[in-house]
Amino acid sequence: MAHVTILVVDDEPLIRLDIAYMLEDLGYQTIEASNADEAMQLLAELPHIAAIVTDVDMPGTMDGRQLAMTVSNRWAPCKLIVMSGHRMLTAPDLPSGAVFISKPVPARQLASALAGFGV
Amino acid sequence: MLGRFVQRPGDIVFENSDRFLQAARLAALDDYQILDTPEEAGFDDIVQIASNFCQTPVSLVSFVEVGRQWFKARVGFEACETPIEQSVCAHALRQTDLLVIPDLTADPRTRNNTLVTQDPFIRFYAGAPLITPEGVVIGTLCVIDTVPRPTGLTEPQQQVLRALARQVMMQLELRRLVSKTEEDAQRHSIDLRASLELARNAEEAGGIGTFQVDVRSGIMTVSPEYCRIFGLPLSDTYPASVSEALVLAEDQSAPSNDQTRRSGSAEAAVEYRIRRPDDGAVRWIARRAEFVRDSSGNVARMFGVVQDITERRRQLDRQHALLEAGDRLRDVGTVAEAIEVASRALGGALGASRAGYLRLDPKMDRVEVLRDWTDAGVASLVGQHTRGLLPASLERLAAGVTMSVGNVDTVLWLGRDRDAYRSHGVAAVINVPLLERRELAGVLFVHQTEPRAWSREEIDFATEIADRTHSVISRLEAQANQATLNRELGHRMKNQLAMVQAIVNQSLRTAPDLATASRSLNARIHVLAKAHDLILLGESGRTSVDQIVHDITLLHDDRIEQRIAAKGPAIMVGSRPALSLSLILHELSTNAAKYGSLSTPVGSVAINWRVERNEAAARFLLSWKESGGPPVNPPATTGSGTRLIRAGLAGTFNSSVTVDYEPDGVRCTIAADLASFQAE
Repeated sequence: MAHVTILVVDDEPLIRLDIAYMLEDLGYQTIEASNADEAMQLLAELPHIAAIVTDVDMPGTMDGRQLAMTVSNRWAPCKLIVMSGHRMLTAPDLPSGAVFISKPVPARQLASALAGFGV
Repeated sequence: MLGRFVQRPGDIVFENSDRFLQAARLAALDDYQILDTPEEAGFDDIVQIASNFCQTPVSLVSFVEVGRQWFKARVGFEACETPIEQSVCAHALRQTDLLVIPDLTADPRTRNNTLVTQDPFIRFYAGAPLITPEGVVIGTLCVIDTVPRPTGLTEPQQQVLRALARQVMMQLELRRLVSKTEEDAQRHSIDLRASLELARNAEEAGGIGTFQVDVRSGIMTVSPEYCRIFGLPLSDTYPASVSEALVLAEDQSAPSNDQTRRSGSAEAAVEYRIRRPDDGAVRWIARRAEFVRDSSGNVARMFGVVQDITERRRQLDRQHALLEAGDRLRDVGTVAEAIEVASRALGGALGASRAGYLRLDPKMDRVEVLRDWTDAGVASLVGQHTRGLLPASLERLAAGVTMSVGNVDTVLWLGRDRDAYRSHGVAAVINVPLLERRELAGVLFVHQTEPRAWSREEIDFATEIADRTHSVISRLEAQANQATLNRELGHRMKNQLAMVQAIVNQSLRTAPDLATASRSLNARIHVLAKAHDLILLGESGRTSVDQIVHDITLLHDDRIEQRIAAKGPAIMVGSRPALSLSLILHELSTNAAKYGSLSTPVGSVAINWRVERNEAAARFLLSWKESGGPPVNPPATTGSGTRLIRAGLAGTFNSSVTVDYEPDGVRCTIAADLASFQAE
């Protein structure tokens, strides 16, 4: 499972860090972005990102839901996990194949979602 | 809070002076009733003299309204008004003396004016302000030339222009005196008419008509008062069927008829409605009667009294409507429902043609009727309307005064409003204002398609319905605010918990043992709580950078405070970046005390912050620089503290945090987009 890279996107540094630690404990490599615009830049530079874990409500030109939509259109192989503490998103709000996790995010749920993706 | 006369002690009102001046100007113009009036010789003479004496082709008496200037008198200028953008006079409104612009193409205020850049290419302007006795400038007397005049007006010309401006004001005052006299006369006649009508009502309420029916023939002997009450031509006798035919179909069972009179089964006391044949009005009649029987016990005659009880019935109806509306308003869940209940109660109980609520948006130039109630055949006004529709009415209502007009055609101060009322088929109106923070927020209105003398009770009824509606609307709005607040608090709470959870996880994960984990965890939670206190103390949830720097470094150890030199301008911080900044400063201080410059007695830290602006945006920059400590070696692995520091500022845009292990001391630089750093 070495060298599988996951991009964590959240504008709250502590929570982003926490998710990154969880993923590292699961054996993944992580990179971080604090908003959708930064995330898009990283995606363009690093084509080997296997999955994205993103928050919904963030500052910048796109929110996390729009980021997920864009990624699913442009980088179809990249798996998507969308998380929010404020709202529940359902299938129509998300690109197909994306998984929604309610915050605070339990490590177990993160692990099983990624396992389900096969990454 | 809503309410018609909300004025709480301690309220502070900041008057925008421009707006204040404009309101005063419009009120004065309204008072003079001068706008859109025909030409008058007195004013025409003045512009003629001004143009002759100043030797200019153009002279104008100009009044400045909101979107336009209107000319009462003009020489050498075609249009009788221009849009305000073309007004040079508007620049003279703050003058107390002449405004002279020798070359309009050279003055920044006027060089782009289309009257300057295009036909008629005006070049020179001199205007004397028209000042009311109260000191309000309402317009100018001006002279205009098509060639520049570098030397302006001569001294005598200036004097004449000032004197003529005073003459314009004299003319205005004279006009006002004359029209006041006319208006008083007119108002007097309206009052007279109204009081006659009220007198008739009183008489009707009190007047008692008498009658006697011969049961066998059905012939009624009636008193003159009976005829008046029933709206019949004066006569001593009528067939009973004449009166019976006036009763409304739905009340036909109440009055007596030949059969019930004969059998003696007619009700002794009844109330019913008739349509009075003389004026077509529907009136409530109360009738009481007794039977006289002959020697054989048959009913021979019925005699009794009748009374017009319409006013009393209406009062009862209104009281009933008020109670019912109060009950129903208590149960409504939305503002629209409240308005619907109020409109129905108002319109129904007053027998009006239309009732509803006009909402004003202070930022918009539009007004909106959210809901209304209309009588059969009367058009609804629901929808958007322009605010300029009822300038005079809205101005009065903005002062918190309820207005009632019995006939819009006879009330002079309505001015242009009259056409608007007429175009919507309104002849009589009651408007009750609803003020919100002293601004007119809405108007509860009652319309009648025919002129109508509103009684004191009817106006009071409208006001009472308005009061109840207002209190319901404010309750609903308060509830909505509370719901928003609760939701917001819920979000914050959840965010706080998520942060604490993250801190716990990190502290536990990286510490070598539980005691160390517990210590660093406690310190971090304490910092979070401290930062939170600062935010709560600050105005509208924000705090300042120097507060955070001071409190967090002091918190760490007050003895080292003197070794931390902090300097920077006063900058406010939003709550989320404030929490992050606190944590970063805490981690930097902790590292410095353990391994860095604060671990020796002579080391120190310099914290400096500033705002850097370029054409694109403003950025907040803070630098942390240690010096005088032991030589620095970059750590082999990234500890949790360092990772926390590098994580950056929450909620900010384009932020970065860099840590450099320079040999003479650790340096940390924090940068973020200023707007997002300060946003709440």
